Amino acid sequence: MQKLYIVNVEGLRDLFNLLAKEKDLYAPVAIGKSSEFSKVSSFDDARIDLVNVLRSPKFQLLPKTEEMFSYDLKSGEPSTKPSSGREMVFFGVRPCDASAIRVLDTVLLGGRFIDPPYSSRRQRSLIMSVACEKFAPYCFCKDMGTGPVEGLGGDISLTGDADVYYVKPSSPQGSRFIDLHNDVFRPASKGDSDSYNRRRSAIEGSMGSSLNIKSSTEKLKGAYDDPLWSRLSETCTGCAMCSFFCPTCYCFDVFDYTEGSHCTRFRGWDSCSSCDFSRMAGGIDPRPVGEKRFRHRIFHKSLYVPETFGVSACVGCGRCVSLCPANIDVREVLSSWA
Amino acid sequence: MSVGARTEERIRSIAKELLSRREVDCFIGFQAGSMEGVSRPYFARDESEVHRLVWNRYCRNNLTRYLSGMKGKVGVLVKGCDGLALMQLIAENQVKRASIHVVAVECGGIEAPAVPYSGEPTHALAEHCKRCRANTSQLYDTLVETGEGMAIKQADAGGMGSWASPDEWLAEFQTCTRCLACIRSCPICYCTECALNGSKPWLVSKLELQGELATFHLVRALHMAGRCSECGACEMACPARIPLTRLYHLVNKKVESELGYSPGSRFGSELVGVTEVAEAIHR
Amino acid sequence: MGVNPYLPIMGAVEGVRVETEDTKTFTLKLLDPDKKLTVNPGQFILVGAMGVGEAPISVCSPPYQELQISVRKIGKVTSALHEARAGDVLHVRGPYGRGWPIDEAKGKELLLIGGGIGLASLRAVALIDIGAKKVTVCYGSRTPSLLLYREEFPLWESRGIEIDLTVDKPEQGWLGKVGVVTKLLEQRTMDVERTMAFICGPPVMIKFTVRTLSSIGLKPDSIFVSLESRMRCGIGKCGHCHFGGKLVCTDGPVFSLDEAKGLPKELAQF
Repeated sequence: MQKLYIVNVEGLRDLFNLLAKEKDLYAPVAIGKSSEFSKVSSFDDARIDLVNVLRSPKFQLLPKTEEMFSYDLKSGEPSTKPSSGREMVFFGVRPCDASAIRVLDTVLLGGRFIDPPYSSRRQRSLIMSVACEKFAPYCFCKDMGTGPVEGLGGDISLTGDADVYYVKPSSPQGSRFIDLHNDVFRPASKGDSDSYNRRRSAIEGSMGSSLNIKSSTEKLKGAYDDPLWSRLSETCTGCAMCSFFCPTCYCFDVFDYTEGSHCTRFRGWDSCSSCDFSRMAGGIDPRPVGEKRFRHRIFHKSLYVPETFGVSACVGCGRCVSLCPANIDVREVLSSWA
Repeated sequence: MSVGARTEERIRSIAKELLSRREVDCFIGFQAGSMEGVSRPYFARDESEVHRLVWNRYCRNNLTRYLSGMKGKVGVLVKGCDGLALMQLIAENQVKRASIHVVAVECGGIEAPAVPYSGEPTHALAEHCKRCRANTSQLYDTLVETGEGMAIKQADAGGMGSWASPDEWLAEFQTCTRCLACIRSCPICYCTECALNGSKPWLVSKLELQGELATFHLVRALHMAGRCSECGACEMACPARIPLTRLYHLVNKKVESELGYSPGSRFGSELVGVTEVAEAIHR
Repeated sequence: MGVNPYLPIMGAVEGVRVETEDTKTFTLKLLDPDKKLTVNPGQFILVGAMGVGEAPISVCSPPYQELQISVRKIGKVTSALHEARAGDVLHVRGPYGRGWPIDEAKGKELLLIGGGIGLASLRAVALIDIGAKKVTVCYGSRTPSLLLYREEFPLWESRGIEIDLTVDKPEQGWLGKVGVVTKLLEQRTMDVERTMAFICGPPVMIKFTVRTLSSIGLKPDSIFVSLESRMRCGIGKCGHCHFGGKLVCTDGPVFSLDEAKGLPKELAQF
């Protein structure tokens, strides 16, 4: 999948404005006091000048609250709403967030069972990532191998350079899209390839490093009993902000909501930082205190998800760092043992 | 040396003395954050650690939030609003006066945090600071004067201009992600099992169902009425920047006008009961 | 994979048997005659009470018998289940998880060690002819009136199973042993090379039982434990049962001691 293509910004703009008529085009937008992926009707509404958006594509692909099925209390037969919707194109996804989508894909679509609600949305989504040109102080994608030019997920990755984008398909779906629109996407010439490589090096070279993730992860394996966790976690207040805004956190809780004789089963995001995440009926709880929950979150992201699913669950987007009310910086935590 | 630097030196030397003499087991203050424009809570446990303590306009957290669970004697740095929360905590039997050493710093106002993630620094005074009730805690063991308290003046005597309509409030509540950062940052929210965290969902679930977002915020506002010190920690933590302190100021004003009570005002005497508060708000 | 794994199928309560003051055994029947659940001993199903929610419950019946679950009333869902009468409908999902390695017990001396409600999962093993050389049930509960399946024990014994009981606190009329389950084990003679142990019960009981068996000389690969966790989906997606590199709903709930030792200590200490 190493083919490189090139497209004029103008050509891309025209293509998207056309696509917006038959598909749902999602792009980064600033809304009120926040920023998120929202439906846009025109390419120019895409705010790819923002470093990134607060609400990652996870808010669209794995909604915060969604209906699983409903049933009548007497018969109990579950019935689902038919999942429909137009095809979605997510344009302007940062490489970190595109890598995060791969993590969600691995967990929710892999293994013995598929998660149907996520699957139906994901199957009709095309993820187009756009390389970063500027970084925030909390970005560390380069250290995590998930950016700033190309991530580990998504279908197509674009790298901007003046009035063109270099285009790389990163999935069969991405290749198909490019082939379908071969009037817009031209195969790159040798000169284009060289320009792309120069551009890529320039972007990557301009980004600093915050931690050595390989070394940190290795050392973390032996750090379970380290008394240092007490100090690392003591200012954590146990809210769910890091989990909710993290683009890879997928844990959910299930709730049956009854009104009269009708019941709807919903699911929604849950956070392992919450006080009752691991609590069992009867009160037994493997992680009854904040320190254990804090340690678990770090271990789950860095070790358990890779061990179980084969992908690292942190993509270096920095949302947890910038949002944490106590400014607990995961880079500092992981570097405690490096 | 600037006022800021001198204040930091003073705080460090106070903390050093308290720790070296084992008068406290821990001193809760602020240290520099991992990014510019951010300071964060820091627990200094030894005199060798006090050099990390800072004091600046990014000291947003209400450090009294950490007191309820702590054992032993604890030193804590408080701004004026934090002090009101502390008096309320003591009045509600959550903190023993004898187990804390209060260092009150004269606060010149806190800078509003940037719009979360991809926002520029605001360089502006936080909204709740414009309604400052007290720039220095009336409760203290050690006082650190800075002379900066005079910088805090009420923007206009009426408060914050016109209040939002119910529809505007409901629209704000819809942006809430139920992360509970507001509750978890608040010293007054010390309940070990919060009725609003959805784990025993008899008030609200964890999810965004029907009118749950409005229920969540209105119930919280009722629980805050007459108890909220308006320190702004909740609002500054909120990823949606819902103007929570403005809402709690509204209910506080009601309690104050109807019952003559505001947080910390009757320190040392009887508290107001919750039914009185509910009735006052209903009026 | 067209089936939505989150959608339950319909079951109905066929019979209710009161075991103790807080435990009932329900016999379930699937409403759809074309659907059948083949549950290996040690696996669990997610049982849903109408309008309330689901709970993971070990199946206590062997595959050849009607589906049965023993439910201890301890939380929101189990309390609702306890209100169920014959004919009431329930949701059923499953079976999920990895059960007891009964094939490995052929020719072995099998110890089924249970504490409290833990015996439910082991009952499914006791009622199967697995070709073990000998099967012994070592079972303890807090008091005699909390012992499960007492009326069935004569039947088990008639099939050659030795039943060794104990209680923490005796009640009037109790003539049996008093003490914790580990005391039963300490008093036994075992051929450690040929003995295999399946342990199910509260975490504390599992911890001390493992310790006792290890000190007696049983190897970690002949000791198996059934662990519990909060679960919300049963299929490895919701993240609640994720400990170390394992998902209790998928890789467990039965683990060999070797595997269990590799899990984070917060789940179980060995």
